[in-house]
Amino acid sequence: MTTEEKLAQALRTIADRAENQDVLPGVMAKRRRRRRRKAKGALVAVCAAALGWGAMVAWPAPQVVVDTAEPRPAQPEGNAVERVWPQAVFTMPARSRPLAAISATEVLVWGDRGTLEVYDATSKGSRTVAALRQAPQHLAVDRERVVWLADGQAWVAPLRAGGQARKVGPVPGENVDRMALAGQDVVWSAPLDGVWRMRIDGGVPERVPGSKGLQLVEWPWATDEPLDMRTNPTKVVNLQTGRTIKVHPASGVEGLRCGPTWCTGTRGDDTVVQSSDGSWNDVHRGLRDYPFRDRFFTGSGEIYDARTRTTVTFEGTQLPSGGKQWSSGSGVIFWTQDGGVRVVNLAAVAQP
Amino acid sequence: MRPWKVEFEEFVRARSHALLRYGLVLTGSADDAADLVQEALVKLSSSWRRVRSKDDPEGYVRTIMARQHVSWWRRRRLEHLTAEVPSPVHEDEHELGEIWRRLRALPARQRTVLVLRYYEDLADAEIAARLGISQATVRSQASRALATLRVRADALTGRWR
Repeated sequence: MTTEEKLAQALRTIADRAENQDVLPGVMAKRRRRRRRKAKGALVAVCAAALGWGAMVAWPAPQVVVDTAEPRPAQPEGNAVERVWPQAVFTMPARSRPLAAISATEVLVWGDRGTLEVYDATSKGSRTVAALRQAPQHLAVDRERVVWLADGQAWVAPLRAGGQARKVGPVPGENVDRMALAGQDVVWSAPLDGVWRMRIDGGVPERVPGSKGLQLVEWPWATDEPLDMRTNPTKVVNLQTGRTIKVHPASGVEGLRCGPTWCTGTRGDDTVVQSSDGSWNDVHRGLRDYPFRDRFFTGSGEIYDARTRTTVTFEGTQLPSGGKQWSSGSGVIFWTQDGGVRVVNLAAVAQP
Repeated sequence: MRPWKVEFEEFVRARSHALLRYGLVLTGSADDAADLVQEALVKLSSSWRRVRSKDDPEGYVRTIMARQHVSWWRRRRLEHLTAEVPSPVHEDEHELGEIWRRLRALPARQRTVLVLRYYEDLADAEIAARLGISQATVRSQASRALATLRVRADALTGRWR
């Protein structure tokens, strides 16, 4: 099926999910408000003309989000994340949203005043790292620093207090979609274009040897991810050592996305977690995408730790339909709860 | 002649579901879709007689919705960036979710062109008229959007789901 056919089919499927509702009362209410505002506006204009004042009209506030998720069966409460990994869960103020896990106690967050901040779950305080015009869509963080893409340039800022953001250099290409920190280098990749690196203290981009045609998974690992979502990759490569792991898809599994040890893919309507070498596989509804730290998969209100084969559940925002809603960043899963933001920090889950 | 309000209400009742479907593929959120439909219908109500006489109120509403969506999106994208936006795709729908995420990541005008071409089945000339842009712009926006969809455009890190 071509991209166009898939797109047309996807749009029809989504459209079929629109529930009918009576929009007429809302239309009539808006009409009445407009008419009153128009009358008031005419009065204001008269006053303004007489007194030399102007008037500003505020745009209506965004509406409350509406539930569209499918109801899911109730989960046993015995494996709630609060019970299994209590050290990994905390609540932070609602003015921030987590972007990425830094350490067992710290997460990088985006503050509502347009700042990158480090939030410490132990001290419940945050420190500002940099002020930006908008939240970066591509970033990477380690314990020392954060790098992000803005306007075709890589930027870096130290996480310690009092540091300053500075430009690293140009990151060419429109389709760069993954970044990582690798010691003193920032590395990135775009589909089919290989993995590139540049010194954080300044330099020029160079292709990482042996990375042609590969996409970053988690440094130093990269994979020959196909553009087609149903096709499987053939290998996962360690770009530091050259070690290559061949991917062996389990029978009937399509669209695998693999870290060095674990993959997710689909078989019919099921999601399958399998080992990259094909020696083990199991069905886990709703999990998808690459694992975080070659270990954790998230989906359907659950986190699956492939290393210990543990499934934990998290609450998420409960929707009236019985479904759940949550957001995620790199190693963080979060949702609004009781006026704050409830966060699961996967960097706080101990090594088995 | 029947009062305009009766005619208008009949039109809304008959066509609101189809408009909500179109609103959902444009905006990606049931809430934004309802907002967009209501906004367009308020505008239609103000010019009902004129539009009715040309016999195409639905085309008029759909044109307003497409244009309004592009301009709202510019205002609202920062709000959405820090809000949790519910998705019409279920968690376990791997492929549909992937296509939907890529589509949502496109700039609003490119996405709107694709919706008009592949959901509304409009020819480029009709899309140009609906959005008030040239046919050449429609073609370039569509080909750029399709090229982006063919490569992976979603981020692995630091991106809201």
